[in-house]
Amino acid sequence: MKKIFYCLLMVLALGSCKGGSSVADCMPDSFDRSALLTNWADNIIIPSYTLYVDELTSLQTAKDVFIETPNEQNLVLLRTEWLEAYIVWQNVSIYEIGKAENIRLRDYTNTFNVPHVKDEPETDKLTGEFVEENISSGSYDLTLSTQLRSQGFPALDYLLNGLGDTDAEILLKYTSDENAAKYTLYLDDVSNRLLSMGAEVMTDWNNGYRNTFITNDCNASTSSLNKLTNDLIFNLEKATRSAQIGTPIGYLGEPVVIPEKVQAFYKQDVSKVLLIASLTASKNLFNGKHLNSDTVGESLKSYLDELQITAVGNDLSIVLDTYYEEAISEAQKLDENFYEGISQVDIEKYRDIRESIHLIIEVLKTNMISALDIKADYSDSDGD
Amino acid sequence: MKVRFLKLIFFCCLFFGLQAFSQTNTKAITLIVKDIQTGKGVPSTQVFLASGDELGTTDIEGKLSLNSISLGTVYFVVFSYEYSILKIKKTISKSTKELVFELSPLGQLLTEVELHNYNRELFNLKRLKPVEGTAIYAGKKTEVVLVNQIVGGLATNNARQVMAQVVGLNIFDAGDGGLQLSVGGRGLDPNRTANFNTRQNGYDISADVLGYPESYYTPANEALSEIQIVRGAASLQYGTQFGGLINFKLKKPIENREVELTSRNTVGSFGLYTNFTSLSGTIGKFSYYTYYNYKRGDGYRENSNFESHSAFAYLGYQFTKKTNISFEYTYLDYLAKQSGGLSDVQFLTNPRVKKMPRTRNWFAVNWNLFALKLEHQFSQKTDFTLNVFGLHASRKAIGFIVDYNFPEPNPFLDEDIQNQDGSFEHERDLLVGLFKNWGAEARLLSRYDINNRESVFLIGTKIYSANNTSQQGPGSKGADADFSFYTDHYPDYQNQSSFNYPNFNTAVFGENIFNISQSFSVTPGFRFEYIKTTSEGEYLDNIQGEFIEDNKTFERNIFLMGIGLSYKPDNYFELYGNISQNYRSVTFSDIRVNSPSYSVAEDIHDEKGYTSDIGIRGKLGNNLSYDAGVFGLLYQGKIGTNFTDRIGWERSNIGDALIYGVESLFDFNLKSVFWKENNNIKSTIFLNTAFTKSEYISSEFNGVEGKEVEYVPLVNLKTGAGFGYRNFMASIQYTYLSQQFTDVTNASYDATNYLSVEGAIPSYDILDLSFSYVYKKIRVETGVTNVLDNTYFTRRATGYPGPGIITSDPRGYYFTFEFKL
Repeated sequence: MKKIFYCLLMVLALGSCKGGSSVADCMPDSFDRSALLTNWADNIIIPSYTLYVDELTSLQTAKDVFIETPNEQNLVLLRTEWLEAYIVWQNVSIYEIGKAENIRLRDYTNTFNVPHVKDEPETDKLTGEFVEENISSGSYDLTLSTQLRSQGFPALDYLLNGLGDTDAEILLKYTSDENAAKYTLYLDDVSNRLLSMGAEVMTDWNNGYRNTFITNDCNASTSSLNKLTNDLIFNLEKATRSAQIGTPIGYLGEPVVIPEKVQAFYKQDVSKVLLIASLTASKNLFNGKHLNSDTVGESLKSYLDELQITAVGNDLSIVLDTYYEEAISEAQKLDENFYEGISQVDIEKYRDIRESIHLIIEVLKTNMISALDIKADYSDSDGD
Repeated sequence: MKVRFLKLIFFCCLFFGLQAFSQTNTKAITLIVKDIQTGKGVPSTQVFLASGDELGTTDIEGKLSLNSISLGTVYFVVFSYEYSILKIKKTISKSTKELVFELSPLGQLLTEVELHNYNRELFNLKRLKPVEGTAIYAGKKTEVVLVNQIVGGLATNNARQVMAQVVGLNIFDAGDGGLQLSVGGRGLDPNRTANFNTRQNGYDISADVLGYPESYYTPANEALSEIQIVRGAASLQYGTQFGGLINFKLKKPIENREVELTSRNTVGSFGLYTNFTSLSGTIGKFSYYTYYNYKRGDGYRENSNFESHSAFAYLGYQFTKKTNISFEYTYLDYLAKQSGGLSDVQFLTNPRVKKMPRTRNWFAVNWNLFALKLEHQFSQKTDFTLNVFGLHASRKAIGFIVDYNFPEPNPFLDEDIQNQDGSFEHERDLLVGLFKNWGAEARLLSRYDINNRESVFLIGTKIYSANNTSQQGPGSKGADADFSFYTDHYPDYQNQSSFNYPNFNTAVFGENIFNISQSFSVTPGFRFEYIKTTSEGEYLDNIQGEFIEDNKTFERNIFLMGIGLSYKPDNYFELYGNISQNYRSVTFSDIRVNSPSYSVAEDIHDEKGYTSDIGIRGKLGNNLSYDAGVFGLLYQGKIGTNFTDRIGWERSNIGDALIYGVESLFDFNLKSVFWKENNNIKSTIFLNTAFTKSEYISSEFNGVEGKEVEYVPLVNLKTGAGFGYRNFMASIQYTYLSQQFTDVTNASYDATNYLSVEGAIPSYDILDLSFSYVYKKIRVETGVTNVLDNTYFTRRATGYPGPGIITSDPRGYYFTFEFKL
């Protein structure tokens, strides 16, 4: 009897060792996930960070020049550099993984609104108010979670575009205003922090994180593909759909339209450019399109194609690509200036673009992640 | 359907009731136990049949009258502490009126080792009994921990040591002086022992048996006589949980003294101090057992100090030989500071880290349990018990968990911001649960004959009514253990909800042992339950900025069946098998909604499934006792939260899991091999192994099907040796668990993880050493836990007391001094 038992035990032990250690358990299918991750890292993510840090460095230089000589020409130059970096940021915003996730790059770089909540006036405060509070108090620690809305691109937007109605008025704040030194210091602090955060993440990618990212190619909640796919969806849902459109038009909750909540409210005429940059970045990551090149590599698209996933009688990858295209061309039709567009009460087209983006999200969240066997990892789907 | 069912029960009762009164081939007889030297009667002597059935205890004159005993040759075992055990064969004929047993006195006080050997022998005699009191164990996998045989870990309530011989237990080693017991069996989550129906002296002690099965209170190990465990097949007679039953049996009042005082003081590593003082005695028909237990400790990590007071009183009154009534009251009050969970990086850098863990998180429990038990023997054949019990308790937790300023809060990244003046930036999250419930369980067990073979019939019923509440909201910004709500100060606080949970449950259950032949028995059983689970209350919708009502009621009838088979040709071998249905009721947290983006599926239902065992147990010669078997557990309709087609989250039954494995316990008695003649030596070795595999066989989650179930190590091994000489005892114990996953997608272990609550628990091993020495009325115990000083953890908490890795203690020492008066 004992012998039989031990035999049974051995068989079970052997059987389970075999199952437990094989690679097949870690991959749901034959697709080479590490090839996809390599393409994303080498041709999209790292180049994006490199470009982003380049842009921030130019911004930094322009800022130094402006502080040295605060004149209109230098202000215009600084503003241009700000916009260029802001556009590249729309790519970087998606890759909230590794160091970026650790230092919460997205939250500290581009939090320009929160959704309106009834009876909570704090939720409707604008970036300018937070910046002014810091400047007047003179004591602030930008690394605290209470300071998310007083720094990053939105704070620069206010400092470069929102301090007065004309450039001359803005310049006064840095020259003859009684708080001129404080405004200058704040501009310096915000700009420095933006660059140092971006550089920290880029350095991490260059110093080994790339390999960590590529080799973590299993199918678990902590695996690279699972996390970045969730990041892609999350960014499209929160940073693009909700923050840029849903929140300003008061889509969810008490229907309060607050056009001041648009992205780059103080500059005003660049909200559309930024939205299109954001949608394009998302589409390019999905398609595996190299940064600033027409070459495409392994991606979610080729993954879906290899698995031959279809939806509504077409390849799922084509369906998604088409939805992205439609959303982008829909966005092209919007006003350059979202603040004006939304203020004009004709917000129907903003609801439409929101719907178009939502359509992409819906397919990503249901059809795509279930085809790729990726579990959704964030716990909240509201916010606009 | 219900009416027809009740009719059936009625007829069953009637049928079996009639059967109970027709017996033959037996006769009444008186047993007399005498001291062989003085010829005087020996009182308080236990008399058993060799099969383990206890016939009774002798009276003051050394006599024991039996109403009926089978004719023919009968093997008796006679046991009294100051005498040698007598095993003897007697023939009973129709003319026999009395039987005399003569016991040889041992002459001197027993040494500790002799006492151990005695208890062990007595236990071996009693174990494997198919019937005990008003419970049926035939055909089920049952395990008993004899607490008085345990050498180490009593004062520290160390489950790893105390329950070392229970097969396949996964234990959270929390290092909190054993304030919280978290054990799981057969691949079920150990958290707060929620997958077991947890009882003390036969009545429920968890917060709410169905809606909130977590155990916040477990009795002091120093007060225990036995821990009984019945695996999944316990679902019919007890709770329906997949894990089965854990019943903590406290010590009985000492019989031959009016007062016995035992006091134990323990000091240990990390500031541990415990005192355990008990009083026990019998005065005529009245008996009592009562204890007080104090514990304090600083904990291994900063900010994890605790202090606890607990007390227990048992008062019993023996009306007649056949009727006993007892009342029990249990009190527990503790306050513990919780330093939070760690990421892998934090854990590996320095598990004692001060910076990230929380400095103002507190947890407090107050528990009051009442139980009234009536035991009555209607006849030699029919026993009845009634347990009425109640709970009045609270659980409070306050702390800073995550920073809601971030759209995606993270427990490891979010710092508890402190302003320059030392004050804290954030208000803390406060959760208060109040539990008020009562229940009653009645059992009637009757023995009757079918074709001259004794059958045993059990019928029981249970009523359980609970009225619990939970409230969540803002607490103070301070650092103290202030458990009051500060809603007026922070009306916009994110997490606010208030719920009532009235719950009502009745059950009828029955089992019957049919002895098909001398050695083969079949035990079918059923359980019928009516459950009404209600959740009513409101939560704050953070987008609308207003409270939303959420009321739900689930009402259902559940019918479970099971069957056990036992083939037991002699008292040294048994082959048993069983299969029974189990379910886990939807809990309050399953059906309550506290965020607008969640919904609960219309058709959400209890988790159901089956457990099954096939095993052998018994003794090979005098040296090896064993219990080995295979088990399977099918878990259907596990509850989880997933996307709906509207891209919101919905809680529903999302998948099925299968868990199966091989379990075995071998216990070798080396003494009888090497030191057969020397009764002053004890030497044993045990080997407890469980190999468990698990798989999600279907799931609506992506990336889950085919994955392993959380907290199921493939190998779970505990082995050890005990050695004793006269009054000195020592034991060594080695524990090994292989890697376990902690999430459904089987996230692997990542030493560089500083973000995720998910990830595997690496395999770990622990070595423990324990010693005890007795000198007259004094006993000292000492031990070293985690001798190898391994840095390990057994748990990644998703909520309290984490989230994150909850560290286990490094090498530690303890010293206990006990005296009896």
